[in-house]
Amino acid sequence: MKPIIEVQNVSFDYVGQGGEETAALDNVSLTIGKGEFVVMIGHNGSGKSTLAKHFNALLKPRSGDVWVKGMNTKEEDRLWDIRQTAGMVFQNPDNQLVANVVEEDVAFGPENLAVPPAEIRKQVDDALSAVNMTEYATSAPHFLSGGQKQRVSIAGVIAMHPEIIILDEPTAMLDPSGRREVMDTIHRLNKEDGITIVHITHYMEEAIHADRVIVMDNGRIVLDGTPREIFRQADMLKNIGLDVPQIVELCHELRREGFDIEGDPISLEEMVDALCQ
Amino acid sequence: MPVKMEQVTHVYMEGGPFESTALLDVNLEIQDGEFIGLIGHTGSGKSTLIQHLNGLLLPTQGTVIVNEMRIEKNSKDLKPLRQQVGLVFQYPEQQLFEETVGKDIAYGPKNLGLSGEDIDFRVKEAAELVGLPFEEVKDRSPFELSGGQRRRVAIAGVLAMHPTILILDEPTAGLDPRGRDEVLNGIRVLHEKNGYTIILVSHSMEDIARLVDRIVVMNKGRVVLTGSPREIFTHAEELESMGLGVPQITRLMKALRQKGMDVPVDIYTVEQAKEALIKVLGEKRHA
Amino acid sequence: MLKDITIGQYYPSDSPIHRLDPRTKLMITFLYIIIIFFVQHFAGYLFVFLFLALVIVLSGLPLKYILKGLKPLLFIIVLTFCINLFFTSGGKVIFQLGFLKVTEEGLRQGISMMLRLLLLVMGTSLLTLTTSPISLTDGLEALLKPLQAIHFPAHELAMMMTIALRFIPTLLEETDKIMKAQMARGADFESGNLIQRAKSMVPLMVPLFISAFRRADELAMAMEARCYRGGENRTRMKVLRMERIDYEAFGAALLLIAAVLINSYC
Repeated sequence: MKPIIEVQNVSFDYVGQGGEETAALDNVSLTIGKGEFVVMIGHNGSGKSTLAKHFNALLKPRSGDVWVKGMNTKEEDRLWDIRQTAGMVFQNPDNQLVANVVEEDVAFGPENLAVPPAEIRKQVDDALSAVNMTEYATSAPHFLSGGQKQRVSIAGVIAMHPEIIILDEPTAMLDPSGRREVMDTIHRLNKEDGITIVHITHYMEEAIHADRVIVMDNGRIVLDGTPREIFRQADMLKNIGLDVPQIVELCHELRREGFDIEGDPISLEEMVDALCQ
Repeated sequence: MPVKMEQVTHVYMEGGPFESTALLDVNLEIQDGEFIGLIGHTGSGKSTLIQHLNGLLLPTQGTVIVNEMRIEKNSKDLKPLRQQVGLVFQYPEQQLFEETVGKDIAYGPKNLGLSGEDIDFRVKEAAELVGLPFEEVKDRSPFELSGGQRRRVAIAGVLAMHPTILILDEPTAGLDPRGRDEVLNGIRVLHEKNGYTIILVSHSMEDIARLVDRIVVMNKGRVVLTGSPREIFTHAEELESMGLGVPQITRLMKALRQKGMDVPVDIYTVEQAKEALIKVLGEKRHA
Repeated sequence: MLKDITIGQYYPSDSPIHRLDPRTKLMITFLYIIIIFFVQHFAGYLFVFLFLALVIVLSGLPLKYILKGLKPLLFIIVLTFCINLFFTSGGKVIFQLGFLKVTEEGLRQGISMMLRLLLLVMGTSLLTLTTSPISLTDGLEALLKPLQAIHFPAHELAMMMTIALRFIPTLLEETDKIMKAQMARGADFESGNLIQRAKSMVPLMVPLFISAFRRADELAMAMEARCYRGGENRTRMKVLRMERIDYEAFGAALLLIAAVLINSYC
């Protein structure tokens, strides 16, 4: 797999009000391949959000380097190419929509990239249909549900034709159906259009269908692997204040009781198969 | 009986072009010391319902009775009611405004017209009820605390009013697992040790299943189901048709049952599932 | 309670007036305001009135809706009439009661001023009723663009208006929520004297400000992530273009101007 994001020995610290420095990233190295669906988990303050903001040059490393599609985020003159390549969706659906008409908001990115008007129209229409929001093109955002607003935000990024979408806890403020809408949308974009996804979340169930899960704690990557490999470390996850899905927990409990459970089931279907053998 | 709703209907913007009925003929009784889980899809009327219990909204029709106080369409002087029923809104940390944690918690008791000593006592008591190290945090700014701590400060601010009923609207929304556990454990203690009547609004069936005595399900402005978690989660299809789910464990049990495994389906926690599976799979255990 | 407020008061429809280029509407409204002050004789008001009536008919707006907009201004209109009526002297005395004296000139001035105000308010409210806030902003930006040469921040102004329009409903909702949350803690926003009331607003205003700053911060970051770098080298999805109907509208406006000027000065 061709690498699209490369992080090499990156450290970053926030300077607090009193001048004291807190390490937010501590010598992190990481490569993300083109087309991968990566989920990053970790509790608040673990550094996952800080790392994600390095992927599109909203933050620049104090030391080390970040390359996005071969462009170093320290190169000032590539800044806009980097941000166009790696789009970002944030947590609060209310605080990232700019215009009070859905299609005008989706057009905001392409407008900033000085795309000719007729092409913007097409990109906006395509982007809205990619997130199934075409019928809301002329609605005002404050009449939409949380899940719909997040889909508009995703459309706003897609309209810029990115290769990577970074989502910083896009589901944290949504209800279950909104969360499902967002997850379905980003999985589809990943499968159908081959867009690389970096999804940050607290919800472990959202990690089950990822290609790869990265667990962060104290500014470091502590686990990196497939969901199955990660959930095998249930005790460690609990130690750093994270959850495991109920299925995984049940599997661990049964093993502790001396049962033999084939494979490492992480989804309901797999658990049923494992238990019915 | 502390809470009783009799045929309560609430219509927003009555008579206008945007008229909408948020509650329709709701009847509900809540006993002293109960722990209620209120669930429903967004827009099902949950928020409207809880705002009736402390008089922030008044019924368009019907009566709400709380600790013998009757609330009807034109009721006035709702302060005593608001003192009895503590309402913690979604993202309650957004209402914090004082320079220090102590002063913020004191806002409610001050509004009740209490004297300095009484206020101090209540502030300390409320902070300890939600498990905050009072001496450590009282002089700090709420904005220096972690998300879970800030939220507990906001809950303490409501508890300092000395309510007998505590309502929490999605108290864990947006928190990480650690913050969520802090808040939920705090609520559990309030119920078990201090005997508060609690109404918890949540989208997380797992949290609801773990904590509450009785579930009230709302759909399209009506109360459609009430019962113990065990009873409610057997209605999986009905819940799904309302856009709600059941805990993953309940779904697993159903799926196993369909495959012919003899497991009970009225199960909703990992612990229960473990017990049930040990019984069924007993022979597969290693020696 | 706060949700009842409607801002901008746009009345969506698909009339010829709605379809006009926002720049056309802005410029004609501007000319319309100026020409009202050139009216000297009552016949002039008749011309203006006919023009206004034509626009109202073409716009398809219910008259009731337009008149409703005048209601809050009724007091000012009546006051203006009275002031001019009683405090303008000259001409024959029509009526006298104690120190109150109504002269012919006063009556003329009173009616004239009242008509001016009515025509002014109705004309400008037609602009906002038939133009969506976003196209109004676009139109304003396009018209002010030439002023950028003298460093007038036309784009920034338009962007500020867009964002304000986007966040007004959000902030109103938030105000409602925080008010309720503090009321649940025993706050009282309605009773007490002025100072007490001002004091009681602190628990509402502080959270609102904090939240507004947080929103601004997050929005700025989101805009930057979407490659926003100010107005330079920016294109727009919707390009404003003058159509035949716009030239016709200008024609009608010029006709009005000519009629008023001839009536007043020839």
